[in-house]
Amino acid sequence: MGGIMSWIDNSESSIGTVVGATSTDSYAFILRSYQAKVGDIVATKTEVPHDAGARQFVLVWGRIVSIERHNPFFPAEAAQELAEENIRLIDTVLSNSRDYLHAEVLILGSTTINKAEKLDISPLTYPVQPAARVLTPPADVVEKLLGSTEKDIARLRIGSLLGRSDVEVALTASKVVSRHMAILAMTGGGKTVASRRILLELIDHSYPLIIFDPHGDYLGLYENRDKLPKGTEVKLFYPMIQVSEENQSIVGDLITKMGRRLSEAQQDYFNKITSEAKIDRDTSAAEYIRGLIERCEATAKRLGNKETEEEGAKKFSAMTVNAVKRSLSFILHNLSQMEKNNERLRDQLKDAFTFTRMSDPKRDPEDLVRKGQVSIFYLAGYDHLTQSTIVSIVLEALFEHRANLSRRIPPFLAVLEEAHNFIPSRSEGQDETPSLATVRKVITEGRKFGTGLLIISQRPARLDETILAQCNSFLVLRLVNPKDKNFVRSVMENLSETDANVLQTFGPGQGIVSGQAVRFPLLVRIQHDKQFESRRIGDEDFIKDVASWEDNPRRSSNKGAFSQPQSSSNPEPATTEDKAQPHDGPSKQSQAKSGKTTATGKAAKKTPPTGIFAFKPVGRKRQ
Amino acid sequence: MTDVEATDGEIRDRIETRITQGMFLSNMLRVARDDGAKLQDRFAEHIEHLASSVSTFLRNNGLIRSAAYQPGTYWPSQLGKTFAFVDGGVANMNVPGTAPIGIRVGSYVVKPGDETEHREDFKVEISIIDDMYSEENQTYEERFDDRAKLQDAARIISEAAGALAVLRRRPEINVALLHGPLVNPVSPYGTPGFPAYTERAAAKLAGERIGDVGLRHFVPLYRRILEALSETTASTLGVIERDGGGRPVLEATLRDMNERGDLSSADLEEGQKLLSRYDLSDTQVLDLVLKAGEYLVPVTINRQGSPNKWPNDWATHIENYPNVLTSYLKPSELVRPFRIEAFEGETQFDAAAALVLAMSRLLPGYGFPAALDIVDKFAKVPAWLTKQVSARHKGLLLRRALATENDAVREYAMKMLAVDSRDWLFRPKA
Repeated sequence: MGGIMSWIDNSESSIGTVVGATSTDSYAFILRSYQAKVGDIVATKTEVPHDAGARQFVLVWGRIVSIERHNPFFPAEAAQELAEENIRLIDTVLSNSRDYLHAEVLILGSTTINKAEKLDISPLTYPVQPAARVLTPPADVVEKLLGSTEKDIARLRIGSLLGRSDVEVALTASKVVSRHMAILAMTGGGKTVASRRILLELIDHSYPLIIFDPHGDYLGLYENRDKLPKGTEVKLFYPMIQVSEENQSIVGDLITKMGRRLSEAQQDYFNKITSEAKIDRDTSAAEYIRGLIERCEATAKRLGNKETEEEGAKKFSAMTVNAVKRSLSFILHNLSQMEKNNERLRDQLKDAFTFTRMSDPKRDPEDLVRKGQVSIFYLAGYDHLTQSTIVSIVLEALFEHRANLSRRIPPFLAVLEEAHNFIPSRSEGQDETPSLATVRKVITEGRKFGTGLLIISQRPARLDETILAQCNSFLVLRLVNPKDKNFVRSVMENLSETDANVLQTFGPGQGIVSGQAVRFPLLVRIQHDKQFESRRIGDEDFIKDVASWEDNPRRSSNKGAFSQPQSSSNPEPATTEDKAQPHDGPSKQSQAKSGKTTATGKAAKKTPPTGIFAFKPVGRKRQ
Repeated sequence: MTDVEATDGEIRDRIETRITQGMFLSNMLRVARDDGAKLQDRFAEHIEHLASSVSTFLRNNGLIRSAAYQPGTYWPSQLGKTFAFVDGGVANMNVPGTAPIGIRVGSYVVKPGDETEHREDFKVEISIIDDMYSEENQTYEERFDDRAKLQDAARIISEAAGALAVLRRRPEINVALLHGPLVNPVSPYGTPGFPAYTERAAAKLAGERIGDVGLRHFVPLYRRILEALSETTASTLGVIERDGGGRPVLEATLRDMNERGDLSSADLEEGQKLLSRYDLSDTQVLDLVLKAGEYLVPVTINRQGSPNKWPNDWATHIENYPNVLTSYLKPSELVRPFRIEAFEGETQFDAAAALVLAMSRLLPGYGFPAALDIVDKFAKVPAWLTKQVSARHKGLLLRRALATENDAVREYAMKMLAVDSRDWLFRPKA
């Protein structure tokens, strides 16, 4: 046999012999020492029945799922003696060279042996031959088997086989972007690294990306945008909830959920004022709420001496109106606070990052979705509910554009980080999360309109099961929580028990990929694109942080600046000045009275005034 | 002496003779049920006397040595040495015609402390899947019909041949251990009609061609191999775990001392009488005498027995068979002592005993040299191979029998191949 299949007859390819009973699902073989590992792809040649009573030889492909190792020449009592006497085995006459390795193989399928070498895999319908040789194929053959080398099919290179760094693993791009994919792993498992790898591949194809980024994990793409293909644009957006006729109900929901629980009468009044509210273009949510508050105030004023105001059959008392106003004030305060949080976080990054206010996805979707553009929505500072509302508003609008076949925007992939906050499971008791319904719609109908989703979460058990089951491809990295593992098994049809048991042993960046994006489940090592990590935001090392922490020197030097000097006998009575500085430490007098000292254990020093009201607090942290 | 023995010496002797013959065993058990403690105590008393007498005697005469067990220092000190272990396996085939046709002798060579890939070496030194005793596979014509003896002889000679083969292949070996006696009695295999080995089999065993059929007989061939073994530079030992019965070692010890003049004939007789009183074996007595790590100073034993029992045809060869130094070593208080044999003239016996002790302590429960356990597992002929070879051979014999056109031969062959003697083939004919 020549050509690329010549390895089949090469004795150096042989790594073992099939042993025991075989089936069409699996077989076992005795493995020669050090010739293979768990996760390796192996093959064995076997003869199977063909059409019309004929026979043909096929290659049966499989993945090693377990290896048991046993030394029949090493009795347990010898081990006990070695341990008790602290002797090294190799110093004695005991043997450690005749390991008996029993490997189990999960059959992936079979291919006919021919020179076309297309390796079209199909299910095995006849068991593997006992005593057959088991072979290890060369890297190029395995890549061919995985479909990595197929021409004219866009592929997303994600890394290599876990056991073979020489075999590249690539996902079928079209299946990822249209059939949705989930990346699941515990914290530190490598989810962001994995998703970034996939996104970088999509960027190579100029595929539009929408990334909802709660923590700034993807800012590195902006920071290193000069390393991206020419023509790629990375835009950073900060969210601004703008109210429109179309999303008024979503915003209304947000307001209801953010605020205090309203009674029926209060809810009725609220519905009334929202239905009457006039919405102009570019009305932000804060302005909208202020407008509602003004309405409440106007109503309250009108009520004046009246107990109620009548509107149709409904009566609203002053108490009702004021309650709604208080709720709206509370909401406005929270929203403003979140916007300020977001602004402050952006301020800290402004030397390196340029943020743009988010465009209205309904009116100007082209600003958000464009060929060759990566749009990152920086959601830091907002609570989950608000983040969810933002996601809902954006996705809903963009999906509508695609669904209406308006051709205003191209197909795109939306990335949902911390997806458990956006699509929580019913057991979380958050059925009313705004983005839940939106994502459900997108994921069920998205494949028709090119609105794909990449769902990323470290708590799979907290995800909506129905939505997750709609993902046709999965990349599962390290998971140790039994609930998460069980949940993943329930939604991934082809995750065997052996594979589920290996989830907890993965290191960072190691995982199992399965689904339509690959031909069969594979153990993979994800390529780490360190050059795209943000130097500004990354894994904080808080120990180092504290080690380098410097207290505000001026603060400590100003401690007790206004305390009266103390005599050795009777302390002076407390003056108003002693009470005037709540943020400073205790005054000398009060220290003397209470017997307290400063945090350092020393009596407070008297320091000369140095224009203390003129200075600003310096940065405490080394950037 | 107890009161009973003092007053009824003769009766006692007779009683005790019968007890040792097992005649009164059931009676003893019945009595023991009612009077158990007393009987047991008396028995124990006698044995104690026996054991302490033997112990005192042996220690006073410096006939017990001790090998210290300090594995932490012992094993590292073995760095640079090479040890070999040999054991054989025989396919247990019940096949008509000549036998055996499945023998395998394996070796395990190891260099303690060596951290390279050359530390260990497993090899099948001798592998014979053939008829060792005849050139033609005949089923019934004038064949030596004691197949058990044929198998035994083949096993004995193959193991010795395997040891010789590994020592020739690896001349750097310092100590070689065989699993079994170093020298076996050969008279049983020198009886008239005992066949010689085929030229092919003899060449495999001796490592060289032997044209003279007379020299291919078991007795001279085995001697040839043993002499070659004793001439190698390695210390070659046989280690035997089974209690073969009798007291050859203790009695030989006493006789030696008598011959040297260290023990009077009267004391010799007393000692022999004491030893034989309860017919306890060397193993049983020394189990009571030796402490952990102790071994008997080796004594020369002639394994071929009394010349009047030698077959005449081979007397000259048998007379020149090598003698063996024999000792018993007790590895620990948990296990009984086992026998060690070395060629007469072995000068490194104490070092070999220390090695055997250290290896035995690696299996504290079993108390036998660990590496012999390893080579035993390696050399064993697996059941599946036995069945395959057996089935193939049976088929071959049947085909040949059927080809002879002789009804008697055919019938015989079919009977031999029948599964059960109650098979319809064996029903008496009218």
